[in-house]
Amino acid sequence: MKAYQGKPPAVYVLALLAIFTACLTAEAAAQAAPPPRERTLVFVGRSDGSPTLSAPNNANWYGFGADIRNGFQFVYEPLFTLNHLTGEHIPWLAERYKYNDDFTSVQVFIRKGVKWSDGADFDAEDVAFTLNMLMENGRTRRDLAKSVETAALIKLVTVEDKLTLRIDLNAPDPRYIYRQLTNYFGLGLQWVPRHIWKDVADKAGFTFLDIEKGWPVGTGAWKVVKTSPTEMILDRRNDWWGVAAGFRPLPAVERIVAIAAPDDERNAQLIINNQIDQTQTLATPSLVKSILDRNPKLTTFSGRKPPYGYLDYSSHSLYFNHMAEGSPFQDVRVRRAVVHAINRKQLIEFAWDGANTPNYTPLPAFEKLQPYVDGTTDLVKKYGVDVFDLALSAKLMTEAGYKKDSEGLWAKDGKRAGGPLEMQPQYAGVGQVIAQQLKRAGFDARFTSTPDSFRKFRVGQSVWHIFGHNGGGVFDTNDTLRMYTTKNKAPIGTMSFFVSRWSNPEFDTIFEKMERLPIGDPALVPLYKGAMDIWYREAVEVPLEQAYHLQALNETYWTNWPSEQNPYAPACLNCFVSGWGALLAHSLKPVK
Amino acid sequence: MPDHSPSSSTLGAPPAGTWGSASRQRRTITLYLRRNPSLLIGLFLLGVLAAIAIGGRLVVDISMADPLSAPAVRAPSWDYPLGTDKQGRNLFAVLVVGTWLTCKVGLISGVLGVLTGTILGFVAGYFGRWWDAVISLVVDVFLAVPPLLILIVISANLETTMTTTTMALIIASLAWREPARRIRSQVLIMREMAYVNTARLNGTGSLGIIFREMMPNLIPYLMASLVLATSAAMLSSVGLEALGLGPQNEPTLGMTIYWAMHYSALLQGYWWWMMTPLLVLILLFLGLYLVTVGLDELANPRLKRGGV
Amino acid sequence: MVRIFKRLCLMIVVVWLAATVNFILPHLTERNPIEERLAQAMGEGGGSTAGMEEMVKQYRQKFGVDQPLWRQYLTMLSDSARLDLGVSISHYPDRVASHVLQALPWSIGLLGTATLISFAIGTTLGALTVWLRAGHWLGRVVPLLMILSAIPFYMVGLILIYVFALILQWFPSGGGMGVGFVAGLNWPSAVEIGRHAFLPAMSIVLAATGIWALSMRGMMVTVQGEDYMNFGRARGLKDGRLFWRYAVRNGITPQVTTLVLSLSHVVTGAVLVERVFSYPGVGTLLYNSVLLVDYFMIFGCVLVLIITLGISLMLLDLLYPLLDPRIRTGAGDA
Repeated sequence: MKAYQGKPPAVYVLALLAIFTACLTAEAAAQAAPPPRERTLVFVGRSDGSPTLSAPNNANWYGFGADIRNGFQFVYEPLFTLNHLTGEHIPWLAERYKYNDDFTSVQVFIRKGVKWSDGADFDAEDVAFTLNMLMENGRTRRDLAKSVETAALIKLVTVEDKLTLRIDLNAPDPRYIYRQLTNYFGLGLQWVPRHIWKDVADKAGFTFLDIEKGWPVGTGAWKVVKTSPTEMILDRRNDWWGVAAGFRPLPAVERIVAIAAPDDERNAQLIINNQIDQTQTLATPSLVKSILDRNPKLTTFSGRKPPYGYLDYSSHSLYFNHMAEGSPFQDVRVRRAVVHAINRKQLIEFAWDGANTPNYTPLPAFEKLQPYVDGTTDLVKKYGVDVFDLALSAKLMTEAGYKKDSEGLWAKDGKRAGGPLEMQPQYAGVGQVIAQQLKRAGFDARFTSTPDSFRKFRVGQSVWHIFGHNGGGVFDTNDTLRMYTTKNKAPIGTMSFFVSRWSNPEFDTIFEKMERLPIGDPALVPLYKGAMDIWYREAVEVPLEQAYHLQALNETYWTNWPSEQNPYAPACLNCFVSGWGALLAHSLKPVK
Repeated sequence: MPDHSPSSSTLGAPPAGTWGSASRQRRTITLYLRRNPSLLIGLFLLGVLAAIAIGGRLVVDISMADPLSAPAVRAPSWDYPLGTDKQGRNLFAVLVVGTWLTCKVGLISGVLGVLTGTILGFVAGYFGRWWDAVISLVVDVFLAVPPLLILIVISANLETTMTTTTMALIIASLAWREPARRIRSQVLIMREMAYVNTARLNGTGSLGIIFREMMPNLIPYLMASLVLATSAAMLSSVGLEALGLGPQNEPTLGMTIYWAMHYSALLQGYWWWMMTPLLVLILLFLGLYLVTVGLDELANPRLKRGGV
Repeated sequence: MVRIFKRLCLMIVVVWLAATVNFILPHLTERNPIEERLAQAMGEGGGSTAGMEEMVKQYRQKFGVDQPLWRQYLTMLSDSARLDLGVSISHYPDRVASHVLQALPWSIGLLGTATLISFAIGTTLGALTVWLRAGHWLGRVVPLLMILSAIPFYMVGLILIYVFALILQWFPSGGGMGVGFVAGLNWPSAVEIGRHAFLPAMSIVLAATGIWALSMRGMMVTVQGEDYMNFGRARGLKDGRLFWRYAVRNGITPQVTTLVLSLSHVVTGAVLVERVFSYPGVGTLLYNSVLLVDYFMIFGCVLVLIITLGISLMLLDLLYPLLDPRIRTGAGDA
């Protein structure tokens, strides 16, 4: 109690001190001559709805809650990156890789002349160090992100020479290169400098951030010069290794600024006034349009016309929780009745202003996946996945033993068919339309998007939910099908991104065969078709529509943004990868 | 007697000045509006809104307040007098349903709040001593609990979707604090009044004094408290709804504001989407405010006499 | 002296109890902020969440939230006694104190200034309208302000954004400063911060001035009828002297009381105003921490409120008798 008496004044003193120090440090950080606006690239970082950037003080990608989308993605570079729009696999720190015949071992050849920002050489030792660190941690402390995954995948890492590395895998895996060595979406690892990290005892608690010391040390063309809760500033390193190594010329972007702007309205005002060059992902096409209308210099990936963005991999679905006990959706007839209650045309009209395409598969509409989509159109017809028919829906419900109650909702033994339809706020547009369509078809669908929805449906506490395919396939369908395997069916109470919680032994068998085939093998399409026959027959989930990454780009200071005509990279500076941001920041051309 | 009660005996209690200032504030308003029949204007405003909420049901099919009932984002027109929103709700139907729902939340939590508050206030004010000390302490402690925290905690533990009724109950869980303070101070003053003393000397029991002597005199005051509590409950429900934490399947006025903000309605030029609920709420709060002022005049005879 | 000591003890009890309630509340949810935070980061963009269970366990231990609640409570008590608010979950590895202290100046600056401005304008207006003869134009401003005072702050804010930020484009629609603006102790910084604070401050001033004006007016009406005013008038005192020294001096005490209370609420910010204007104050911080159930950050924000509130209430209670000569005698026998 005594301590409390002394406390309040101390709080005040601290508050006052903070005000002054904030002013003073801000003054000190103001540098002699910052690059002009026309050489500065400003984008909106990730903040999860708060006016502060997410984790700007943690440069350790493997630590707790780290987020590399707010500037650190320009410090680190990947071995390879992947442009999912074209399917192009782009070598960066590595030159190439080579599998052995049975896909149990892969050799990686590092590019010559790569240097860390502190001048040390980047070589196979660094990559091996990172992998070994994760493997060892995955077997012991398990407090580093990706460590358990790495320990499960890799048997042994051997440094063959300074620039050659051999990774022996625990099982044949033709896709390993895409799981850890290629950075795209949220996949791929980040490499840490061995000469610094080897002396760190508590690697999980290490933040790797000390601007005085030049930390974080990376290989990228930019270095962090300031971080604060609301912005991160990176300046170009004129001694970047890529110039001397003849890899790429020095980028024109001299300064990169990531700022926090929590809502669409603020993003809109900032880009209309040319204060930023790229917005965060915006809610609707009509919003992007009204932003473009206010500034002729603004554009999007698809130009100044719909869909105002590029195709994302997380196509949206209505999911059933197949493990929910006593759920009315345990009955396949009820699930099929839901399938026929969905009117995708109306959904796209209301939720996406008409600028989207219906989806009848769990796959995004990427070019490389088209053969798989085409291969299953007859299945879509066979199971009527694209049929919107309330009479058919009602017929199935009656067959399943349901009757309409006094409020016109289907009920059996006093229990209604439905429950809270959980989703995250970004699905609110889709969710309200779907909930209303289902209500009209007699389902007890209550649109629900609370701060707890994220947890509820991922741990399996919801009977149905709307979500995107997190981690779906890009170059073939294995990553998507993996979500429906017994191995990935998490029990209720365990957090999982594979929210169907459905599996089928027959489906597993087919998938095992597909896992052993290399990418592009002609046998994959018929196998996929076999798996999907089960999937559609069981009406596992209801695919809804494609996902587009809606974003406004500003051509006042920078041109050569990726576009439909020149899709050299996804136009995303704040995505969860080190590859795309670098591709983009290296390719932009200054107007002046 | 200065209008501050010598209540400082409970040190945790707010200082005398603040207890009095709310009623002083309203009293001054009363004085100011002496020539303005504030109660009448207030009742008139509330009457108009009630007419819309009740009579509107005859004019428009209230199921049009559901999504997909109309084309998306239409400006006001003959078919849709207040326009439509992005999900295809007819905003006129939303106005009719939403006004009622918002009032419902206010009324439920207002009544519950005043009821609990009256009991606590009476116990604290009449029985005094450690009853007063404990109750005042509890009120003070709970004044430092942000409603947001309570809402999130309770709604996270809800098995089902939030409705206007659960919303009202959640708000009621904090709505007793102000009435308890106000009524306690009023009881403190009343306890010392001559007629109460007379009754006590005549051997009337505590309950008799409370229900037969004090209550009847407090009724106008309780009415004013009720209006005030209802208004405060509506204010916090609309606030929480505007943050997106309200009943998402019911078109209350606050949820309408939330959706309009969520879809940057103003930026996209959909002014009618934001302005409809905003104007109705402004009229609603204004009406309630004027009624409180009017009722306060009734409740405080001293004011009437001394009002110049 | 005894009175002061008793009051101090009670203040401490209130602060302690309020802290306890606010500590327990967030723990009553089933949510697991550590797991949610890890899942958000690891699963982003299709990342693998393999082995997350283990990580969650490790970090629950590191944050100490795997302990039984009573032990966490004791840890919290001893930590806050040492002014250690701990490490935030949602802003790991930052300390809670650094975020609270970063947000405080914004809230205090915005709400404090707005409250003082509305107090000054409102009180003066309220006093003048009584003093001036009927029919003066100022008399007509007050009813208008009264109407505005019935409207919640943030709704006024929404209208201001529409008119002044979107249509007229005179002011920015939100934020504390412009993008990449480096603040210092200089004139441009003041202008920049002022420009951004103008609309949110206006929404508060517009809505709050009426309240101050009306209560001041009420006081002045009462004061005018008092004997000492008639006495002053009889002595032939000048209008100005009579107005300031006699009328305002006596009418202002309760106003100041209310002002102190309002100012003590400033530290928690105004969630909705800050949210509508995406202002980086404590209100926003508290709101986001509550959404993510960041136990430590919630507690840090609320603690500042509790302590400020506790102290203000105590000081007012103690000082009130000194401020108002009429009450001094009354307080003596209390």
